Amino acid sequence: MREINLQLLFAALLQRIKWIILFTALGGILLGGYTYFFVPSNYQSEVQMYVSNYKDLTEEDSSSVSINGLTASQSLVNEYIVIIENDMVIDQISAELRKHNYVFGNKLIRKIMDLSSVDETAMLSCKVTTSDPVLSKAVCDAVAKVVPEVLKETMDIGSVKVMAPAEEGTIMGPSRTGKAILGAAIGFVLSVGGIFIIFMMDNTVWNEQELKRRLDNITVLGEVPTILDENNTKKRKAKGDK
Amino acid sequence: MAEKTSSGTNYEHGSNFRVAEAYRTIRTNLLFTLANADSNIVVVSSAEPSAGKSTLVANLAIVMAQTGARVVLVDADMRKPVLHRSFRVSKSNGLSKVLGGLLTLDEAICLSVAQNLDLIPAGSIPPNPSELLGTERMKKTLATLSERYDYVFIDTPPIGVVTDAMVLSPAAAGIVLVARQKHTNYDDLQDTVEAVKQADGNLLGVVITDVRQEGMGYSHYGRYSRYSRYGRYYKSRYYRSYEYRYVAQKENENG
Repeated sequence: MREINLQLLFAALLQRIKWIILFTALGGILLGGYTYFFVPSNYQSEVQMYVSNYKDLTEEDSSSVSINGLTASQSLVNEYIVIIENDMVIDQISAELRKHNYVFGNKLIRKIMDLSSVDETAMLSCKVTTSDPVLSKAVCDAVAKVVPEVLKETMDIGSVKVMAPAEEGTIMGPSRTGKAILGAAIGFVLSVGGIFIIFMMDNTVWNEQELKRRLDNITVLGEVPTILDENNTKKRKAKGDK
Repeated sequence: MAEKTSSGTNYEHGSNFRVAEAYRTIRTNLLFTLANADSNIVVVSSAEPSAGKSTLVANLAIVMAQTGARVVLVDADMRKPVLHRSFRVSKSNGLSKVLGGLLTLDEAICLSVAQNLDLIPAGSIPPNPSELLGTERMKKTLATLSERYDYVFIDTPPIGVVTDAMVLSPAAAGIVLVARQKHTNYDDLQDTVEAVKQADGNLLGVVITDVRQEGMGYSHYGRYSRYSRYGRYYKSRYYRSYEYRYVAQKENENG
């Protein structure tokens, strides 16, 4: 096996720069192309609901909202999320979707639905990601219809207000450019790694300095460059040449 | 001067100035190593086939003869002879028939294949080349050639394949090994060097052939590029064509 000589290694990489460029380009084209043609885009819709812990507030009562009440509303959002992810609620969402001819299993609904608190407020956010923008909106609409009723019944919530109806899903990915860059990076790493392995496994004579180092300072009488023809290309090895 | 042949290109082409200078450098270095030698016989071999050994020994003999020395080139590779093709001579009469007692040495010598250079082709391929090289007749032939000529270059099969070169080494000043860039394996070369040492042979040195300087750890322009201007200078100053030496030779032949 060859010793690691950075100068020779760099020279070997430069000598095969065309292969590096080729593999880098190929990696980018392959992964980018695969993503473009075979990986469907994801569309995300979102619906936000404000969950208030206060019940039957009147105009006179609204002035007496306390900071403790606000804090309570914020901290209860996580409980709402747990409730919504319960099978009972998911069943209702699934039933609502069936009315619109969408058939979803509970597991799939949990998978495509992402519930969270918006910036640690009492705002509950439901994001739905599917490969169809209309479908994403439909699931959000079903959630917006089912969840307020369930929360009021179960938690005796004051009010659940849907801030705005969900819109058709916006494209979220996958990023074809990003995948192409990733593919190019993989191609680059593989080509450089391959050249490095070939370099290390190459045990043939390269130049005088290395020959002297490997063979105990053996006498090197000289080096004969490659014989070129008139076009400055290497002469083919003629028949009978030993 | 040898010209382009079907069996490999002898270097004397104006566009290969770097190659010509490389051979002259090898000639100079070889002369230094031969300065204290008892013999004027040089055996050229390699670790493995296709190292460029025959091309090297032919061109080395040519450049050596250019110094005015009388040189003979012996093709002792009776298994796969090629030198007769390089110099376009008949292969039928050669060393094998001399060693077999069918020809005299003078009958086998091809005179003046190049300036100051004679050639003894290998001749017909015999069934026992190693044995022939070890005969008393071979020793006498080498002794005669050593007296007649200033330098005797012997082309032999690769040491890594057969030991013909080792049979001749006792009578020689030493062995020149040919290694080819990105072809000759270090392990094989090391084994060959060890074999020479174990046989009490004298290793004169190694020549690396087929060197591409780009990407081999040299600077971008290579060590000979700055001298290539001299090649163009000579071309334009003295003659009008690339093959200026060839033209000069032809003019000499035509008187």
